[in-house]
Amino acid sequence: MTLKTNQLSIIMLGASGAVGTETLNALLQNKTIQQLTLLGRKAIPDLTEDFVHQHTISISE
Amino acid sequence: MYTNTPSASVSDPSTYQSYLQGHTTAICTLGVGEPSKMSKEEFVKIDKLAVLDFARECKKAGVKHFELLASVDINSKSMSFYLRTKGELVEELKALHFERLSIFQPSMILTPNNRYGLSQAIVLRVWPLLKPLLGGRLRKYRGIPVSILGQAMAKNISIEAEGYEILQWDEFYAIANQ
Repeated sequence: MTLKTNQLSIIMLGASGAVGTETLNALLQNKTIQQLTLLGRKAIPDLTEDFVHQHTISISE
Repeated sequence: MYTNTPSASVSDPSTYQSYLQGHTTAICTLGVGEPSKMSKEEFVKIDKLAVLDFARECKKAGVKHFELLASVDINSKSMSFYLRTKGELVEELKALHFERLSIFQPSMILTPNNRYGLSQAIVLRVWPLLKPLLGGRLRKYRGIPVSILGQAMAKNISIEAEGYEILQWDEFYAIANQ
């Protein structure tokens, strides 16, 4: 496997679910991520990283 | 940084499309959680239509790589409503022609906590015991710890590749352990 060396910019939908939470925890360890935007039903607490932006989004009507 | 935008809705892409600009990669783990407790209409609305809307907006915004949490055995011609709906979704995602499309296909996702009551509690206890029986072509049905699946989805974005890829149990461990 060849790994990318360029900076990544990630948009994620569903970060507050069980799999999303684990994915997010792993993403936060990735030093090549320049920007991480989260769209989720609820805000995820204790995210202090400068490169993370959160927006709440309604899933139901 | 947290922005409370209560008017944003997955049902209306115009309410969130401005957030997508400038991203190279999208990860979608959206789902209803427990499909058997939802109406078919609600399931389709969230797990298929909302995801497809999100993917279309990502494509328009210039996203190159799209990752989706799906399920093993999804097929647009399946007799199972759940598997057929997810299969139809993937066919539509393929038609969007992302430079790279990664479809994660876990079987039973093993979580530390029981989220859905007695039936899931039983499944979470029994499924790991089936592992020795699930060899060869059945390996894809092995239960996957949610932490391994999450690591695989996160680390896969850093791997150089292009085109359409399906990832199952063996790939989850290969990527998570790199």
